[in-house]
Amino acid sequence: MATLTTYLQKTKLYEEKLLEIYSGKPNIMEVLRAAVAQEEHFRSGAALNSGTVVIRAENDDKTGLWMVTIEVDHGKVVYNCLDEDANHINIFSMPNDKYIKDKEKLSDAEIKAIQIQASNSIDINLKDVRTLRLAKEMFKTDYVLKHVPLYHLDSDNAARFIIWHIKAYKKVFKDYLNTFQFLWEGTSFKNARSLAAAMVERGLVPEDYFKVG
Amino acid sequence: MSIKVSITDIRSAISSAQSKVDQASNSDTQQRILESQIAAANDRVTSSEAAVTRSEMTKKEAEDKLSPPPTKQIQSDGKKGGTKTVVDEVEKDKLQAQVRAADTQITQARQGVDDAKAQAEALTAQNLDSAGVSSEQQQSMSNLSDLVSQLKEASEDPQTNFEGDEFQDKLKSAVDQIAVLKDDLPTTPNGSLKDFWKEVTEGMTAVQTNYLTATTPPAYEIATGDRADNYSQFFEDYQDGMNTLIERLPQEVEDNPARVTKFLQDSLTSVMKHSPSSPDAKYLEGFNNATDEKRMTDLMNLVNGLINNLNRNRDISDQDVTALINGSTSLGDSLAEGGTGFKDLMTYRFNTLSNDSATIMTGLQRNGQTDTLPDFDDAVNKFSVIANPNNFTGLTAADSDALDAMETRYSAIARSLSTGGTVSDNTMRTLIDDSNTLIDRLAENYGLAPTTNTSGSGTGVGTGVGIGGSSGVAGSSVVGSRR
Repeated sequence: MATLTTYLQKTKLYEEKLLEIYSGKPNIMEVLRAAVAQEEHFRSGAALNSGTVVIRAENDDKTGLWMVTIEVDHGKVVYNCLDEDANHINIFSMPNDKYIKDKEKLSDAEIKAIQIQASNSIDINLKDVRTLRLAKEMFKTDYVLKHVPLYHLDSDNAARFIIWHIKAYKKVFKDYLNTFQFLWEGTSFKNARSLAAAMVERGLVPEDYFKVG
Repeated sequence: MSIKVSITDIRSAISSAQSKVDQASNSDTQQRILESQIAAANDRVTSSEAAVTRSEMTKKEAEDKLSPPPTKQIQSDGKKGGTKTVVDEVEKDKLQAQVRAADTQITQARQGVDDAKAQAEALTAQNLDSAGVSSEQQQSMSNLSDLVSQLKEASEDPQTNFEGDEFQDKLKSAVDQIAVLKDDLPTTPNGSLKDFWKEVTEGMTAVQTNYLTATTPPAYEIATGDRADNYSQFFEDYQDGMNTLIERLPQEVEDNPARVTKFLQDSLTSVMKHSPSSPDAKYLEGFNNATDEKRMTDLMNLVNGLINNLNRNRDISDQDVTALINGSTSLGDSLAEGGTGFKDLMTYRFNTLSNDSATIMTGLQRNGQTDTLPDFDDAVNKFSVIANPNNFTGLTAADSDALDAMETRYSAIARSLSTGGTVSDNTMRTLIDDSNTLIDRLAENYGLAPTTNTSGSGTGVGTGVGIGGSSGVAGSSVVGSRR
């Protein structure tokens, strides 16, 4: 029966009906609206240190996996969750081309090559301390991290910072999912945003129903 | 390699699934019944559910205020008097009440979602039941749906071995299950059945496409520099491919293998007689990559595709063989004509030669070389009679090279004379003799009759190449009759 339930739940008809039923239940709609607002809040990001650092987070519409980006003037560090529990994570840093010396004399390919040379990428597992050590070593000298003006980071602390940051965000995601995931669990939707968009698309709620602010 | 399912089997399974989509469509009545059920379900929303007004954002806001808890200043009762800060219990209680309200809201929403899911599931199952689909059949649908999803996912993974047992076993199982369900499931118009068959059709079509892409040779490309080499690499590849097909293909075509062999051999000859190693090798600089080279690559893709199908024991259709023969014939015709750009290129070459001739004539007159002038004039006039691109369709590479060598000599002398230089009578005499020899050779090879320039209009030379004319320069009209 379990398999049968899975099948029924993934049929188009099932989802169509579910959306219609949702749209008729104000308490579900209120909670969904709150979930969408929360996702939008993550996506719009938080500006820290007078706007010199921006941290954004968003979950993918297709996989539901989270991605967090720390942006500074010198580049960005992205960490991509590779599993639902956010234990396996790829960390990737990429400098901007803004400060490349004699940039105007270089071709696009040369600029790209310099950016890639100064990039770092590593997969970590939060439950495997060896991978965390490797990440710390790699990011100790990372060009972008050195330019994150938080907590007066030196290179070593910058690496610690990013790992701490991941753990902190992991907690935020977990809280968020624990609170709201029941809304789309068992459907093809992977987040509140795509569920809300489907309802708007079908005309079940007004277009501005989920607009925040 | 263990191929257990042929492409024909997959196509047939897709076709079965597609026909069921059509049968299951048009379920308007059923749809209307379901819609009325949904409306009734919506009416059952309880008033307590509708009364909830707190949002989750309110809860977060309240929680933020609770940590640290709200405080207030009160008058200190100590000796020194003044104020002190204490937790504002009233405010705290109020905020905690807000948190509880938001929690209640979420709890209610959770319950509402569970109800909604059960309701939607029941309606979907009811939809299938009403179409006469038993629970066992629903289970089979579920299994097939999962299998098709797995196959689709595997087919999109570049690591998948399409001809390995794992993929082939699943593919065979899917094809077999489609065949069973095609007969078992009802043909009543029904939305759920339509969606099911649509999902199967789309999934299997994607699997087939990915399977074929992964097991199809890469598109043929004309090698860099092969054009300059008169496409010798292409001719070699084509010959190798066709020889393989001649050896193996006729046996696969049921009716009259001998006839197919003959057709393939004729096709091979029609192309290979123009290869650089053949005495009939053509001048192919007029080959255009959008048209003529595309014919070459299309043909090679066909050849390689057929060899690939033979290697993988796939069916060869009559259309494939016909396309191969037609493609070869069509390329043979292009080769015989020298390509789409042949006439334009020849026009340009004749114009250049004509201009150089006029320059030489002017130079000879200026330098007073009256001995060679009339003979050069005769040679040029003789050439002007035949200098029409239409006369040279199928120009061989050897004749083109000879013409090219002559053009180079004309050009060098013209350049020298136009810059105030001189040319000896001996050099001119040799040039005139060689020109006459070449003109005779071309006339003979292409069935032309070089005469003195009397008519012009029929050959397109018209105004006599201009050398004898008052202006002395032929201009673009010389070989432009085709326009």
